[in-house]
Amino acid sequence: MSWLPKNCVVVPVDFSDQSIAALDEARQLVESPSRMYVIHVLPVLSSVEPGVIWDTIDDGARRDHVETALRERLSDAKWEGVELAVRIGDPASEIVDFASGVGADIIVLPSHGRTGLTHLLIGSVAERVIRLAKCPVLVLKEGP
Amino acid sequence: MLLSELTARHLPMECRCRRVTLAALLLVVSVGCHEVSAQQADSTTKDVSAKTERANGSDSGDTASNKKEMKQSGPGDVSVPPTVESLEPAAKPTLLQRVDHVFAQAVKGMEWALFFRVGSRERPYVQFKHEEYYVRDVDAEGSFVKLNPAGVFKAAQLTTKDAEALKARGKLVLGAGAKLFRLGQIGERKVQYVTVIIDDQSKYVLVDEGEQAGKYVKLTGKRGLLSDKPADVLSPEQVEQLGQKGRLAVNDTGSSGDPPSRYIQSETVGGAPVVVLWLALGSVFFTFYMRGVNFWGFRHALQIVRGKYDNPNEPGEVTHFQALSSALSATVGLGNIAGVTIAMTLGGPGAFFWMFACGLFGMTSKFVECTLGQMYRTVKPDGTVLGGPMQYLHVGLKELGLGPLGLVLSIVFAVMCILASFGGGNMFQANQSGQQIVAIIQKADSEHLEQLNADIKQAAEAQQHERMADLQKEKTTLQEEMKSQSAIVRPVFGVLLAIMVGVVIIGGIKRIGAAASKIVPTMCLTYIAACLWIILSHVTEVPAMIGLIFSEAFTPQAMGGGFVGVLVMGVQRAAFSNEAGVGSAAIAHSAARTDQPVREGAVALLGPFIDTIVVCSMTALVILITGAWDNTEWVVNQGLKGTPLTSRAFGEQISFFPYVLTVAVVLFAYSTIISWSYYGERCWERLFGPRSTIVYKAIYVGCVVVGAIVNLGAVLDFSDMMILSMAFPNILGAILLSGKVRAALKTYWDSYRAGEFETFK
Repeated sequence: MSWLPKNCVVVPVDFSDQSIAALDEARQLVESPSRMYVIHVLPVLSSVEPGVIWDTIDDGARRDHVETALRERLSDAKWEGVELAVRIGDPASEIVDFASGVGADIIVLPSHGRTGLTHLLIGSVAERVIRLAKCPVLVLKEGP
Repeated sequence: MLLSELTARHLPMECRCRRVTLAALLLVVSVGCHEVSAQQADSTTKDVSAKTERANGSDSGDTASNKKEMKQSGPGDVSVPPTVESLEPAAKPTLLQRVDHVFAQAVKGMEWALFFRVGSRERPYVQFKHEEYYVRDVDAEGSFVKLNPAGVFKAAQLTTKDAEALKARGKLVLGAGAKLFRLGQIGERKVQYVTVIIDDQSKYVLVDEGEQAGKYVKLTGKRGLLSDKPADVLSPEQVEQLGQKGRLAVNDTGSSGDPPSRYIQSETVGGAPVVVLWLALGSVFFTFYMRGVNFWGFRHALQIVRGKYDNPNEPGEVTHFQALSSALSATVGLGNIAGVTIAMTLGGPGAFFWMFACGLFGMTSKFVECTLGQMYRTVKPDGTVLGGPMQYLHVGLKELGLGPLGLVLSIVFAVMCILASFGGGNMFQANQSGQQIVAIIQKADSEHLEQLNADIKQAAEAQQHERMADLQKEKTTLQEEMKSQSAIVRPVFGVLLAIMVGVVIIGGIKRIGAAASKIVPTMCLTYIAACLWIILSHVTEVPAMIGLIFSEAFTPQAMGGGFVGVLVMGVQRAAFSNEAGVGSAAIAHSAARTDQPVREGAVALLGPFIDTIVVCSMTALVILITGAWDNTEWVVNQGLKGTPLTSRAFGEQISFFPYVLTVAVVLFAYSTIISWSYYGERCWERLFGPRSTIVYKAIYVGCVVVGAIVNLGAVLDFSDMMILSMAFPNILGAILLSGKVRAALKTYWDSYRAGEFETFK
């Protein structure tokens, strides 16, 4: 991996402060925001959710909601031109799939640093992305 | 003369020396086993009894009657009835039994902590455990000879045929593989023995006031009532004598009573479990603190449900009506069909009064928790909602500066909710609906069985021994058939139900789950219609029944007469049924589309109203009209309880209704299983994140199969306890946050009165 500016950077965002901070880091790797792809992965909708039972929400509506929410969150001028994407499924595999699809040079994401039981059950998206990715992955650690 | 009669005549019944008696008995038994022929026995027995007398140095030869013998035995006399020591290898516990055992221990511990009973007392009692033994030598064939000649069971000998007949009547303790006899030893001698159960049901409790004070009175099988027959009263002396004759179970935890007796045992009775008081007092507190919103907010709640304020642009997933329906599909069901019946068979009609009261006050608990659910819900970026106690306990208490407490309470709640979803929300449902399916498939068989029982009784009275044996054989075959049929039907049903649950919660086939939830209101209306049909056709009896409910509530003919026991029964069953104060419904209600938390709270208070005040009342009146709660034949003799008893009561009035009820029970169970999976899944998601919910779902589907197969036992107690115990963290948090709810209610109501809310219909 060279330190030259990247052509295509994928940044998964889950609306947490760390993931928004990762956007700033990623911004430094590219010349223009238009080289950045921000992806949010939604979990598969539970089929016993009241909204599903009563047919008042569906994946299309959820995508629209998230896109609107992402645009609001990234309404700052410095994010002008960032590409947004919403996928549904397992976060790590969706992120990796998406990254190969757009021919990403690098994936930038924060580590939540969970430990113990939650780590065992949730695992770490970052870990799985590292394992599955076909391009370099930059995992950001929280500063002291 | 029969051998055993001879031994009875010659054996001393009271011996001061236990060792010698045993030796003497051993001799008698050994002789008896060698020589079962009565003709040959005479001289041998005389010889033995002579030896016995010499060994004892006693001359008490004549034991003409039991009565006389009772009088003879003075205090301090210890006569030991003969017993056989079993040599059968202890049955290896199956995996299920081992699981059950571990659970039972855990449940015991939890019961002590969670179901700690306030104001309970110890009540001495004696339990009849009267068995008689018939023995023969290991290699011998032919009849078994009575071991205790003074025993009350008439037959001196048992042929294999007699034993078969007793087995058919359920009067034998069977060996491994349902063998008639077991291997045992008397002293050193190995024998085969048949154990005849004379009485292992009767229980006499010490009465501490009234005419019978200081005496032991027999419990009837109904509602813990004491028998009023003079013959069912035992003095402490009689208890001691019966005990010495081997008729009572021995207290192996240590002697009690004054003077101490080996036969007097002790049990904890009365009092109220802390969690039940917690639920009841919580709902009363909320009702006063919210100034009776359950009464004056009712009309407004109906307006909201009708969609008057449904704004499609507010955040959330579903309308008020849809949220209420979703919450109801988790609560309406077996609690309404089985729970009321259980409460009334155990606590009498008065228990229903307290269920009703609990439903009324529970409306405010529901109001508070669902308002909080809306207040502190998270609307996720995709528009879906995560809300409920695990959310408001955490976020809400953090706001009050009680962050650590809130975190602990929310975790405790989530864990209990997950466990409750496996148990009461799943296994209990699968089990009860499976049993109802078996019952309906075997309806003809059980009627046939009932007929056979009657015929056998008749044949016995008429002394038609051949016919009796034939009938008994027929009965045994039928019972075996029913048993093996049930052993096939239940797992098959369990697997089918699990597949149906699996396709929805794992396979994501949304339509089936949606259809099941939507069918619940229809089933519910069908059920209410059937109840109304029965009630209206007996409408003249209704006022008297309502009177009975009131009078029995305060001065009940049940559970020892105190109203506390009946109250506890009512509150417990009502809480199981409407889940007010438990917090589960707040999860479903937080999905409603609104920006006014109080509005959804008002909708939620209709839940306990529909569940308890409408549907449970219907069941209660039907049970009263049919007299099912007090029907000795059904409750005591046939041991019907819960759903089968309700079904039976309906069948008396509308012959085809048990079939309709079966369909209703299965659908209710299915929709409850689906709905509870949502609660459990949300809690799991809160604890472990959305990605691992597949683990939860897999366990959940597995529980359906297990629930349909096993006899729940400790597993069920455990999960039911979990449901009620959810009220500990939930009500504590809700009380701490109730100030906010009260303030929000005031603001909301002022705006409502001022007509500030936009209407859409």
